[in-house]
Amino acid sequence: MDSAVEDAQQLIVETMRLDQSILWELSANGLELVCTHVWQRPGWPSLPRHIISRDVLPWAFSKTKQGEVFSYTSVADLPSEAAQDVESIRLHGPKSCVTVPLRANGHVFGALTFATLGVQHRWREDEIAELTLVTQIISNVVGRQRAELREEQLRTELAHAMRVASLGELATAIAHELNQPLTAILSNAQAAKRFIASGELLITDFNEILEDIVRDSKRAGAVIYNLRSMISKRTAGPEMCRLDKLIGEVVELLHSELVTEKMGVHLMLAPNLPPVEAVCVELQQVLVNLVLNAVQAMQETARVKRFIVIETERDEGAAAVTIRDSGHGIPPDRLEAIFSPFFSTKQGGLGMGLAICRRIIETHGGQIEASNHPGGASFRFTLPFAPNAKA
Amino acid sequence: MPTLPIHIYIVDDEPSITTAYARLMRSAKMNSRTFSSVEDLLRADFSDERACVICDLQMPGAGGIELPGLLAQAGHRVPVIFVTAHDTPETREMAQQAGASGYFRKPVDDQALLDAIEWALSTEPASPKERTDRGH
Repeated sequence: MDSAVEDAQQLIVETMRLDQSILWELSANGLELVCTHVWQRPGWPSLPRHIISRDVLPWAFSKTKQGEVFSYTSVADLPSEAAQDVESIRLHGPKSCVTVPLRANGHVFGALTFATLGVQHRWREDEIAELTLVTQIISNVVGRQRAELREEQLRTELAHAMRVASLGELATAIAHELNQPLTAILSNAQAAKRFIASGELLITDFNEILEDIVRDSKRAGAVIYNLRSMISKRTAGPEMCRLDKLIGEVVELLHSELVTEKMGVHLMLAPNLPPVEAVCVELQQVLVNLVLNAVQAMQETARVKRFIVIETERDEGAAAVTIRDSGHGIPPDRLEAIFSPFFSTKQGGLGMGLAICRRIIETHGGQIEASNHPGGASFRFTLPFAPNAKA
Repeated sequence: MPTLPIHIYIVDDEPSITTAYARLMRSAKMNSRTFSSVEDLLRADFSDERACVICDLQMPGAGGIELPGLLAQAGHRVPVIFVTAHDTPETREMAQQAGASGYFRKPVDDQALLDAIEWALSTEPASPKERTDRGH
């Protein structure tokens, strides 16, 4: 892609007998132009600077930002407002130059310059028109690339925001999960102090107390560790994930949420399911979303009838995971729509949960679908087994 | 003058917590029995004499909040102290309405809990109805 842009620059410069073409992109703060692509005839010294600040070329900056094409044959042609620019160009700039702004989605994001370095060039109207046209083509290509980059960035940010959001929902659950071991640790330590104060501490009791404190401290540590890996923005690479282990962790993480909501969870895990190759944290996120979704769906279900079944099975070369609830089900005409972003039946929800689940599953080469079974909804996703996985 | 021993009935679905509370009670020279659920306690045969229940609020099966009512139904008159990790004004209010003799956030300090037990045993346990009538 990058070399294609420079190839195009070379072709234009050589065909039109010019010396140099530079693609400048506006920095994020809009105060600098950064040289990202350049082609110039061999023999000329390399660019004096790859970043130009607005102060150096204030007039050219404002023209570019306004989306205007401008050119000069001699710097002396520039208007009097461009005094600072003239001074800068005399020091380092080209002899003659055409500047065409680059646009994407209506916004100027930079400029493409075409210049002579040795002799002055008198620009003809049709030359400028032609350069404007090719710049538009290059602009589209570069602009699309930038948009894709931005989109990827947005997706990462969104996934992070989503993790943090579901974390917010989880906060109470996690507070409980941490409070349990802390409660036991505190009472154990205070009991030991009392036994010591009364002179009745048996060494065997003391040993048991310490063992329990050690175990509960480790448990609290594990809760924090799980939490950290869930909210970490760092996108971990794919690794071997065992689905049964992952499901176990998620159910453990959501334990108190499930208890508070009186949800029974039944695990029906296929024995010896081969691992899948995936970003485990992302799969964990999918499972958390689907389980919390099931919990939400059963808010109006009678307590005794609330249950979630998580089942794993083999589906040819893939693992299939089904999460069934005993809620109100999904209206048949919405079975597909629920995976669209911003589709939410919950109040206050962004409706990103299932859209993100689908994206995660699909980037892992799997599929996710929703259906109804008698007495509730079920979500089923597949993930191909890792290539050289042994059962 | 020797006094009759105090019996504490500990209800929590978390074994490490019931074990720790039981030790704490033993260190304060109180007897204790542990139960993993409200149902477990209700099925058991126990005396109300110089007794007190310490109960978690979030448990599978009947939540702790129903315990004072269920105990009264079963003819027991025994004070209930709640401990919870979900300490919200609503839970606090619900606990009071239910007729709790004490309410603590986990993790609970030993002295505060033991004082609450002493206090609960020194006052007549109130039934939920009476409590409401008294405007709590």
